[in-house]
Amino acid sequence: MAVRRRSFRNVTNPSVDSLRRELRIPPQARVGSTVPITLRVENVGDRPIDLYLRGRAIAFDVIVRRPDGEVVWRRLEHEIIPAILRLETLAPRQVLELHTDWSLETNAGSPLTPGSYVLEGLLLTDGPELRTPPVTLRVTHQ
Amino acid sequence: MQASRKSAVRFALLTLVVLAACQDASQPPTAPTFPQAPQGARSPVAQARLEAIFQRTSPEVMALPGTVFADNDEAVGKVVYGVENQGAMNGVRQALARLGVDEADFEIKLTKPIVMAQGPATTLRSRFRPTQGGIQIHFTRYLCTLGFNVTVGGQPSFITNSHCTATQGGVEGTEYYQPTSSVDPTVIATEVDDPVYVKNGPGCPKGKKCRYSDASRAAYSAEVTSSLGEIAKTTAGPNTGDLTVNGSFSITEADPRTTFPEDMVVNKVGRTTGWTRGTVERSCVHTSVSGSTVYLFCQTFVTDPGGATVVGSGDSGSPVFAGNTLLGILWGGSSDNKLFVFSPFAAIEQELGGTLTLK
Repeated sequence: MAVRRRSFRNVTNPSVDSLRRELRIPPQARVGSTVPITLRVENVGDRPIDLYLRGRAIAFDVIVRRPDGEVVWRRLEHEIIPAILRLETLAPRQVLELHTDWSLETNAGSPLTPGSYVLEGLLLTDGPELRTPPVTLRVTHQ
Repeated sequence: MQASRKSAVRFALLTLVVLAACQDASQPPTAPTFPQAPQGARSPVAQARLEAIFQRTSPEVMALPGTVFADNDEAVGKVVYGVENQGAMNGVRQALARLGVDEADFEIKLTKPIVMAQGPATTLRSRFRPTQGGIQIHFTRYLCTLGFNVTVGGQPSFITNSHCTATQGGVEGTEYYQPTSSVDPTVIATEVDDPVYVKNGPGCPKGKKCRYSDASRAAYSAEVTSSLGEIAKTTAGPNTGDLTVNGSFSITEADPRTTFPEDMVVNKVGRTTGWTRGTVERSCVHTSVSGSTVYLFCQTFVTDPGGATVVGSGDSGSPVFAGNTLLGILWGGSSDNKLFVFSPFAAIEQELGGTLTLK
């Protein structure tokens, strides 16, 4: 396998303001279905941004809460993640997209009850996580 | 250089004094507008005598604690010693008396210590030669931590994680830099050992590939020096986030166990969170690795009872130790960074083959 050499520049803290973060989900889903989730980070600035990310496969979390704040599901709950640091450079307008699916179950394995849920995405870095604004999913009867 | 400059200044002052003295001697003396002529307008013999005192006494006096400078000060016609405190002053005075120097020939002054100008602090992310455990390494697009140095069959090497190679499992000749290729483009070491992960082996869950340790070995390049038995030590103590290096931990042996008692206190040093400490929460735990099909037998979980951060991205490969005993290397942790997981040394040595000589 060819090994690609990357040059690590001096660590530059990404300007969070230049990173548009977004969690994309369908507006509603039926109990028992699977919801596709995309965490999207775009460099909306005019300069490249170095991101120092966790994991061989980039690690990201999704937290699902009831409107009262109770957490019902976390993607990385009880997961053990390799503590490797990965450099990704986002050019201006470049987008990083990470995908996962959620089966509308709690971490305990119980199916969700119909209602509204608030989802938030977290991209793990070597510093504070990069968080997406919350989005709402409406879960309906089958 | 300084003595020459001082002599030149003194010569200029003397010249002015002499010129002033040669002016109209009938005029009443007026206060000079320049510094007093030094009393040291002495004969060459007197200057030579002072220089001899300086040469004879300064080696012994400057060996005393608290001494700062020694100067054959032609301006005052004395040997001047600068000291940090009263205790040092007494010590110098006694030493000069013992050496038979007349009180009139020396002066002792209190002065502030001379501090070397500080460059950027050395951190776990700095360049280290010789290399040691706990410092940053770089390969392809990733950063990890150098676990510990060993020799295997006489070959100087370091151990880091299997997932800190170009491909986890199997040898691809990954080239390592320290701290990064942009800081120093020298290839410090090349991967030489990373056993493949085994599918369908005894105890390995369906769909997983298994090993007993997340470890690999890289052989040092000929020109790169490495220290056996040393792990970088940070200044401020454990669980502070401090990355500044101030000395090293000494490792003299490895723990032969694969299971460790609960509540055993263990340390790690890594390039992201530095020196952290916690207690064994679970031991010999079969562990799935997030984001992969890797499954590791008999790993150990560590947390801090106070809830401190004990791991961060880039700490992969960190040496884990207790006292002078190496326990293994860290490879992963929880998403909140409050728990880390390490592979035991015994499993690392067994899988990598050959005796890993630590010291």
